[in-house]
Amino acid sequence: MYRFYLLLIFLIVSCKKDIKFSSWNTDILLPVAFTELSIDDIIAIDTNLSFRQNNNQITLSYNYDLENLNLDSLLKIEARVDEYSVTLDSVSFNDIVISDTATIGSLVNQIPLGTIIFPNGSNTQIPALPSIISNDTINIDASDYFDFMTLHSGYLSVEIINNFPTVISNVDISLINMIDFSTIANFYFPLINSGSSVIDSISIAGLTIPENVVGILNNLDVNQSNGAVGINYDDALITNFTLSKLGFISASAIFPEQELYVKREEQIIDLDPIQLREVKIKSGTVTINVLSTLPNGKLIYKIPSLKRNGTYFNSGDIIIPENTSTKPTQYVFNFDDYVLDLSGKENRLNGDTVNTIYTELFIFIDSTGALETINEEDSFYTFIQFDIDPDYGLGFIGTDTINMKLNDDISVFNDIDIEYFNLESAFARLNLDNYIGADIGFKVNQFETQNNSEIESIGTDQYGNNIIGNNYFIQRASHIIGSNYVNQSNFSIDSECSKLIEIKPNLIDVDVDFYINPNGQGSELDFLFTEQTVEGNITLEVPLSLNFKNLYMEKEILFSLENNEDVEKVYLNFNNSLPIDLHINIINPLNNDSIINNKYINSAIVDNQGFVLESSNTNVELNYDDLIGTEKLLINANISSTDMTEDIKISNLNKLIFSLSVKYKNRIN
Amino acid sequence: MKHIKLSLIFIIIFTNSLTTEANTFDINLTSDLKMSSNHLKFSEIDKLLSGIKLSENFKNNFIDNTYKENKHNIDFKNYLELTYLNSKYKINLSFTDRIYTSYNVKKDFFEFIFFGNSRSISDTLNFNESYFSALKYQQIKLGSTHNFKNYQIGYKIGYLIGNNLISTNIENATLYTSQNITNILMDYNVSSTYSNEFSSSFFRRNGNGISVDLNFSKKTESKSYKIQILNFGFIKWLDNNNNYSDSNFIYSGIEITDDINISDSNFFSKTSLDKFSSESKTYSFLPTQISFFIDTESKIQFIRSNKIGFNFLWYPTKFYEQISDIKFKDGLNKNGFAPQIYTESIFNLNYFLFSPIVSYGGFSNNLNVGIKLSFGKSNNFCIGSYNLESLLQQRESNNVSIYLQLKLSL
Repeated sequence: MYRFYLLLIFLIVSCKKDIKFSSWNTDILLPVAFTELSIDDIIAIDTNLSFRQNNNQITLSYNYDLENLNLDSLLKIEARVDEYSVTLDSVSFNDIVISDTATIGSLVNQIPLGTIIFPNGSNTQIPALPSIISNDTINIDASDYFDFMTLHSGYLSVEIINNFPTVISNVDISLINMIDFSTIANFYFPLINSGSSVIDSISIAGLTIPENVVGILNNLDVNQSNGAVGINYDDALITNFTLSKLGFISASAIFPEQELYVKREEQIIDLDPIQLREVKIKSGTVTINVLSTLPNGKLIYKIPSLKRNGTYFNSGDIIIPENTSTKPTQYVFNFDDYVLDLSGKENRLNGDTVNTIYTELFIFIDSTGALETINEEDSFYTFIQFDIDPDYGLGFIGTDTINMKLNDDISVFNDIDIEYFNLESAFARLNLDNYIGADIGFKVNQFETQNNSEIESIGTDQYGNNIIGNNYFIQRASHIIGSNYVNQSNFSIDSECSKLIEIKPNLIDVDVDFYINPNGQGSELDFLFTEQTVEGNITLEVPLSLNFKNLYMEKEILFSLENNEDVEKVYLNFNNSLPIDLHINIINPLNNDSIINNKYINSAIVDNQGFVLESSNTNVELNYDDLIGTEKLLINANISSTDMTEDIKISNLNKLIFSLSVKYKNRIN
Repeated sequence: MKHIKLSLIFIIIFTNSLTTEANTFDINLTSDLKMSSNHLKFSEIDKLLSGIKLSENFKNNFIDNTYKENKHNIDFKNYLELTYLNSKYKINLSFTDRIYTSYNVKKDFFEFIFFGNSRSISDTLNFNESYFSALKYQQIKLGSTHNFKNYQIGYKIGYLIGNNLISTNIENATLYTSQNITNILMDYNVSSTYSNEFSSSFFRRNGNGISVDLNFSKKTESKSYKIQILNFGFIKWLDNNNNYSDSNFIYSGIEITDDINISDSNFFSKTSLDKFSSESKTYSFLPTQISFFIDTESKIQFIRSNKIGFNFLWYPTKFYEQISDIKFKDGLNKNGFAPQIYTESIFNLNYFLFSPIVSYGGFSNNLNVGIKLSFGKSNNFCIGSYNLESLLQQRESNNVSIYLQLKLSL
């Protein structure tokens, strides 16, 4: 426990006190270096012309991949669609109707002794009552609808429904703007029969209508009834003021949600000459760009033909802020793994089409519940950007010419005398796997090897045609719709190539043109998976002459090892994908080439094409002390033809990977 | 034992000799030390500080005793507080010196510290979401508390003098050693900062900052409810060294070509690790305690009150170059403090108050039993510990604490 208090003192006073921490060792395992032993490390072949082995052949095989045929750009969709500009001058409001009701009861109350003369429910003849109403005001309160409204079009109508039991006449109404007391309109109705209605309207284009308008009933005469009529105080004269077909220059109002613009249409994307029916999106975005001067704009964008897991894209409500600059506000949606149907609107009239996206755009004035001011110049500008890199495409993928090249060094012929090769049996193969669901033609423009002074070109193919300039054709791949599995088609050109090898080349140079759909659009739908297009490789195979005895491979590893007590162990790992057993001798050349360690390394398991099925793995553990003073290690191996029990193909794809790791003792404190 | 008895008698006589009349001016001198952990035992601390070479057995046992998350905290506070008090309000002025260290690391962290990757071939060592932080600062606080009928609202504003900050944050870090040691896969995002010079001087500060305390309480007839936020604030470090490493790579050693010699002197020397360093202003936040408790007056004669409370810790273990980078969730994640519940009862035993405390949570996984002894009334001396169980467990204990308080009322 006392040390705890020591720790406290240590913390309290300072970090510099002499507390003696304990120490321990930590073992760190660390890879230090690696290298490869391959066909390029063959340094010599022993020959003994009198020696004859048992007819088993060793063949050196060089494989070169042609650069990938990248067709991503072929299907890339970059399009700008749904560009619309909507100004509010084209927008009209819903009709506004304000009613006023004058009952018989209220009129009778205005007549001295009226309720006695004309009691409710009585049957009495109504006498002529001229100017029974004069200069009466009717408040037309539109504050529920707007604050003010300056109109470029619109009509104000007055409808009077006479439910009195007698005729009324000489109805004279004026509508007054209570802001500047100007007269908006006058209406005169000479006669309105009982139980009938009259209506009149005027244009209010160019006028500013405030929320408070007063209707002044200048005059209303009640005509004498035709005999006794029933007096019902609830019978009423109803006046409806209607604002209709309103087109405004500006308006301030608590706007209800109102649809400004709807566009449902097919968008044709220019991909000419490609005609796509469907693409699956590997990565992509759809960006909705909106520039709105409205204080309360709203947008909904739907792409019914863009689906993932059966659900189509719907942006939902996008509330658009009023712009403060000319730069549109952007809303970006990620469409990775979506499938885009480019055949147009579902069940379209003239059947499916291509390169066509069906979209739906809805623009609204949103209901904010607050007083907003908008004017006819307010606008809503929008366009949509598609930026899509497809994973696959279905349709007609067009006609195109694409070039593939190979330009690579060859080093093995520098170290091996050419007479050790069985050149008569040397051959070259150009192998192509077509994963595209389209016809592919190709032409070899160049296939040659060269050394510093000579160039040799490939000769004829297995059919006797000159390879250079000949037109070849590869069948289209097949594919089950709905699956990702592609059954590729294959085509190979074989050629005797002794001339290519004979010059001891140090470079191989190949140039091939590929033609997609060389015969134009076929009857079948094309398909293209951008990750897997056409894979090409070139193989040069040269058998060694049968009378070789030993083939040496060697790798020299340079070290500068000093005495380091922290390194405890050294681990050597040999991962062998060569199809041959190897004998590794780790030699210290400074100590009379003494063998520090030796190891037998098993061959990899390969198929008869030379492809590795399973590499072998061998570990050697050494004490570091045994290596101190060493400046280089030699890893060498030899293959003796006497040990061969079957044909062997050594490819440059097969390697012995040598790794050196250490256990490093790290002392803490 | 004789010395202890004599000391106790002295304390009792000393405190009783001070006036017991109600006063309006208090001087409070407090020292509070807490050390808690869910894995680190005193016997292990002893060994780690004994200067010996640790045995394989010790290392193995140490690893065996660790958990998925291993937490440790030392909080050592000394403060002097002057309080003026009347019936309507209270004014406080205090000076605090505080050392606060904590860590929360994964089991694999100790595995790597003690054994490296030698036991993890074909395995991934995971150091994700770990941190270490050591903070020392001084604080001057001025505040007041106001009484409104049954409510009490208080606040304190603090000025902070930053002495030292050492902080390392591992957002994510994994280390995979392949079979045959041919490759090491490293994926890490680590940031660290440290103050250029250690300074405990009030005048030679490495940083300064501000803090706020807030409290609100409500009293009813027999209960009082209180919620308080203590030490919400930050220090702006003036000249810290910040290092950021964010990388993801496979290390296979150096490829041997004809031109390269391999030197064993520094195996990593030829690799370029993605590292970025900067010397700039750095912001760090204080460990902020958020507490809520209910204090109930007891009807039992010898029991004055019973309290039940909850403590939470908001402590962003990261550091920031822009104060606007702080996010509230940073203070909740991975600081290692589990919400703590505690109870405290105060027994009035005529000559002194006796307060047993039981708590669970915090940095410890154990139930902690504590005690406070308080002598005197208006003038008061208090001694206590939150971890009496450490006396029983002795060297196998994870936690220890001691609390001393001397209050003089004038």
